[in-house]
Amino acid sequence: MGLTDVTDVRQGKIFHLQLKDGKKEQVETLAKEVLTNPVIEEYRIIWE
Amino acid sequence: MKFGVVVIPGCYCDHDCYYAIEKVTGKPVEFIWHEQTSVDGFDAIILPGGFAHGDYLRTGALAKFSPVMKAIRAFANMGGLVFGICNGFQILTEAGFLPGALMRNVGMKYVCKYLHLRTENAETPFTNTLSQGQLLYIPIGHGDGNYYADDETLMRIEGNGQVVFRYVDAQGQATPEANPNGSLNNIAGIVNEQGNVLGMMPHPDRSFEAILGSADGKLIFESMVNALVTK
Repeated sequence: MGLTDVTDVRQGKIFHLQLKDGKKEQVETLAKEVLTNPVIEEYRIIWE
Repeated sequence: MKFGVVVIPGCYCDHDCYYAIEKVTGKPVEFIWHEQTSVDGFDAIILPGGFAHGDYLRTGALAKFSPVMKAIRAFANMGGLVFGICNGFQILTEAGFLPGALMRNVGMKYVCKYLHLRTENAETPFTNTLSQGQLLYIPIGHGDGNYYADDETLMRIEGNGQVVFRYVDAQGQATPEANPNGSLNNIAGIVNEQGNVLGMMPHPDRSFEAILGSADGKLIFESMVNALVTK
């Protein structure tokens, strides 16, 4: 297609979490202990 | 001595394991429902194959939250024998009983076939009736059997005898062609440092009597009985 400007690509999973009353503490735990396997995955939390 | 076979929704090899143990060992065996909070009275616990919790999120990922896992962890810490087959192996890595992880097969296909394993450590409670280097003919059936561990972990488990079975060809060589799923170092089964928890992807519960195609799997169950008798 002639679109040659991309130098790298990654594919992953996105989990959209809806939080009660803006409670953020549990998100880190969820990310680390349920949503990812730290042996083979990393995570990033993006707050919206 | 009493064997227990854990029943988790989504797993279907529980009955195969129950029948295998009953037939091979003749010892008492009972099912353990995944919501039980006690495993008192058991000497060996099997985590059978299948698709626990539908493989939701990742294979074996959610089983660690089943109530029975807390009791199994305490059981393993006390030296009780825990044996995870296929999905059971995936559960054991996700729950942190064993190092590493099982990923999607490198060929991206579910592979179902008989193959050869080489015994790398004949001194575990699961292999004491085998000899070092002995070949076993055992079937696999999995889509996520690609064993991975980081370099440091890999070196450690290879160095201290935690690798118990390796995929090999009929001549006993661990070639790339003999590797059905891309596992590092053709690793098919490992134990924990203590040696009382084994996880393997192939199915001895499908190869314990000749009519199934191979009876080599029974040697593993017989080893477990041997280990418990001499405890």
